[in-house]
Amino acid sequence: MARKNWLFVLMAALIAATLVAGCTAPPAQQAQQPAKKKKIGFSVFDMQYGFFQDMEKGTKEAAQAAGYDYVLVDEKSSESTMVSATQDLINQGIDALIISPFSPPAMGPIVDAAKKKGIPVVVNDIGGGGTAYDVIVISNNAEGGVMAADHLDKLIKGTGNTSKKVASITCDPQHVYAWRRNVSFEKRIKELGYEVVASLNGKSQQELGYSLMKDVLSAHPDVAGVFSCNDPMAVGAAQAIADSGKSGVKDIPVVGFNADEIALKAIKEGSMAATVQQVPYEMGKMTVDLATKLMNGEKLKYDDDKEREIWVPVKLITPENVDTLLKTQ
Amino acid sequence: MTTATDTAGQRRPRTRDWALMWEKYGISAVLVVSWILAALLVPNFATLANLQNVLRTASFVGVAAVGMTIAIISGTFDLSVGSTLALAAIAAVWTGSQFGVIASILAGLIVGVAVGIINGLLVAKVRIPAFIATLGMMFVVSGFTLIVTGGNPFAYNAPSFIWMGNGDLLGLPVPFIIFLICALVGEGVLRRTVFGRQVFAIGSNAAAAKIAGVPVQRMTGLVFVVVGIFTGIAAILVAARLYSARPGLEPGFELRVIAAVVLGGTRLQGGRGGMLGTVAAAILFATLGNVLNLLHADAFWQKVVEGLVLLVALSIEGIRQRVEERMSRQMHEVKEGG
Amino acid sequence: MAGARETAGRLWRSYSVAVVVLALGIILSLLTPSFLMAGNLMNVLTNAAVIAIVGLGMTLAIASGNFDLSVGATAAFSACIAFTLVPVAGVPVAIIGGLITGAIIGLINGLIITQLRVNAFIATLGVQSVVRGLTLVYTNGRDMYLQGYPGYKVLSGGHILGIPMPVILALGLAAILGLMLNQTRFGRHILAVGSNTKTARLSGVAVDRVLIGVFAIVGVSAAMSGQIYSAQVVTASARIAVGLELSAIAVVVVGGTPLSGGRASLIGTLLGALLIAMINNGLNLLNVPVLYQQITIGLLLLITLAIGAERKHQALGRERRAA
Repeated sequence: MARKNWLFVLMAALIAATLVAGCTAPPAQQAQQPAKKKKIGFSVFDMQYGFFQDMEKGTKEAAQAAGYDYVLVDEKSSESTMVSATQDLINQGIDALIISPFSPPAMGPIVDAAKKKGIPVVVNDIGGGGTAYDVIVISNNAEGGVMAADHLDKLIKGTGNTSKKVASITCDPQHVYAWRRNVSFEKRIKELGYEVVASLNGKSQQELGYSLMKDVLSAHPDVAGVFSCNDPMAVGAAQAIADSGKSGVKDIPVVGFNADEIALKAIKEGSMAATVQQVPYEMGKMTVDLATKLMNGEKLKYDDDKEREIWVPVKLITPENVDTLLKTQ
Repeated sequence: MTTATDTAGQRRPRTRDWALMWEKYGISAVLVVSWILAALLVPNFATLANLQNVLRTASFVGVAAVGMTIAIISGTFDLSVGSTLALAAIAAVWTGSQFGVIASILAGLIVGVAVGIINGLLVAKVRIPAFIATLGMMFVVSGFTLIVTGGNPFAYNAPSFIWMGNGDLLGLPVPFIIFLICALVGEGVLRRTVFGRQVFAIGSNAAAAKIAGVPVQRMTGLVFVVVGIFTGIAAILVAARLYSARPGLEPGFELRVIAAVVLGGTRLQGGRGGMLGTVAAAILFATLGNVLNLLHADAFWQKVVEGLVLLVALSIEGIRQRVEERMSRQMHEVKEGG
Repeated sequence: MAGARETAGRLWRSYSVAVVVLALGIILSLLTPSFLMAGNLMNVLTNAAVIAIVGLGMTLAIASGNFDLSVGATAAFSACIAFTLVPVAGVPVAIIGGLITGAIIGLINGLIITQLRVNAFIATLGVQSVVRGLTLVYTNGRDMYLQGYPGYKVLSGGHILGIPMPVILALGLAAILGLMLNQTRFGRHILAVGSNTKTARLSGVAVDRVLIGVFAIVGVSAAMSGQIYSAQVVTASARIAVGLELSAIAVVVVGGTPLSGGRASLIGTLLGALLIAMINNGLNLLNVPVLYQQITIGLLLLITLAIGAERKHQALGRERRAA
């Protein structure tokens, strides 16, 4: 049949193309001048989020300041894109790979491919998936959850509310590291004598933060405080509280996570109580620094030797110190 | 179907030759041209490693698209392939880590077939429209996956397993070879078997097919099983590629699969189509993503470009139709006038 | 006796969604006392209303034999445009500007589908990608936060006679579209095109113009839903309303409008939205573990439709035998 013949022809053409390509020496790998600029590749989770935009900015500026060539790919919240796009980076002859992986478990092929070429792998946040990366820079999410719980306890006592009920809006359980925030929050807040009356998944969607909070207010009108896994949902929850006539600071304090721009604005205007700040920009800089050390063959000092983790402290942001952050935005 | 001369004995307009050529080979031609242009203009494109990456990436959507092509030709489609992919991939990974590679392959296929059977029953026996049945199954299967996994990912990295997704054979990526084999099998089924002929018949006119004795109900059910088989194969390949699987794997997979089939020239209404276009379209999508990355295109503009490319590629068919209509109208006027 | 059974069957087909809504309401109020509280019912109605608005537009699209997968992207983009206009031109102008944006995107959809002859499913898929991308470019990936313009919140938090604004907007839109479908030529043409495009064209219906109009209406309804979402959270970004298209199609289908086109049940869509909102609300009130929520919705969707389809099948069989 004619069409099958064409299928064969197409196959043959593609085989021929790959063979021909294989015979031509890939120029990117060969040094053209004696002092070749080193190239750093950064594979980012998803540039749609302020958190990762800040991380990317920090990475890019540090790489350029160090005199490296810098290439970026966006995983666009898809693991197949993560794998194929990061492979694109490797194929362009990078000397070090920095990655904030959308799906840590799927990092296997990436790390294998990088190792085959002797490219050091620095992971920025999210997780390492149990693979053989060289180092992972990770926000102390668990500490952040505890911080939020302690602060929420303080805020609730400040409102004079005697209710011991709190709500916890979570991220998707598949985002294992972010999930840790609520797990540690809920553990700590229970230690402080509170009851977690609702633990609901907002899937990181702002509209869900709003509608979930409304449902919580219906089911538990005496809820005293809320912790949200990230800021977009926290802002949504704060608005839900405002729409029911109460304040997200004075009546039912809302604590978020990330220190995104909208949360900072919400804290400043008094609709939300606090957030836990991660420092993606600094983390980006740190990873470039670590990449440099690895490219020079230095040995790294870890906070956790077994998992090769380097922890980044988180900071509580309240109306008192929010201005310092807003100025740098 | 097409005769050299029409009923009045006059030569058919030349556009109809081109129209058929375009429908069958258009996307393949676009693919070849785009590769040549990319090789010349895009740095690092024409390297072995890069081309292997492109072909490899194309294979996962591609294998599933083989099954979907058959479904669409028969006049239906399946929105649950994405969630089925995740479940089958998880089944493959978990089973593999317990019982080895052969078991992992069986597990992936069995899950794909099982979901296909359920879809087939819902559509053929219970008579729920395919869109709804498979949409509902999409939720049910992904919900089921969440429950049995507790939301956790699974990993399996035995060398023989991951080779299926990451290895190369004679310079070609293994998943791509499997993709081509699936496409050839699919094409053979479509053109050389009774099943294939009946698929086309049902897609063109289900009522007429029924009168002609085609067991429409049974066939519709079988089509979903076929989709399930190819989805299962795709799932095994994806899991092998990623050394892992998780619930919610590959969001939007089903839409990408349908887009590949339609871009390849198979009409959504059914009754016409083929595998060559599907293969070319799958590779074309992968090429587009790759080229945009190599050109360091801004991530936000990449979304815009990908959508525009889809629209432009599909408009060509529509514009061609309008041109043909205008020309045949002119011909009729000439006939009547003369 | 047979007549009574047939009537019962026909009544079931028409009102099955309402019956399910009622049954679910009773079950939920028995399971948790919070359900029947005024505040909670208002929430359910509001959530239902927001998705119902875009669902109403989608009903028209489906009745005309098409789909619109770009409503989520349209909702996000329109909200961003509205946010840009508020500080510059005031809230009312901004809202209208957002709606016009939706209409324009809808027009573009309609043009691509009718003039370039691209199938609606794929065309709107492509437009969705383009519009989301443009929204990202426009906002530079940042979220837009509206401060100092409480007037905008009237979309989500306003009340008239105690009824939340989104509910009023939904009912109003349903009334307008209902009148249009039943009383105007345009409305009749939409249904004709959905039943059989070829026949409609032969009978002189300006199919292209009808479809462009339909998609413009869908665009406006999507913009309205998007603006309500953005008013709720006082934020607009390219990331809002992801997945809106599937929810919209789901409420239309659950509501009973056939996917084959030719008929439209606006009331069905309203009830379908109410049903799904009730399910989500019930799951949240009962603190059902996250992992079980998705499968519940899927199963309910299938069961509702299986019952509907089975009844139809039986009824058709009875009619054929009676003939």
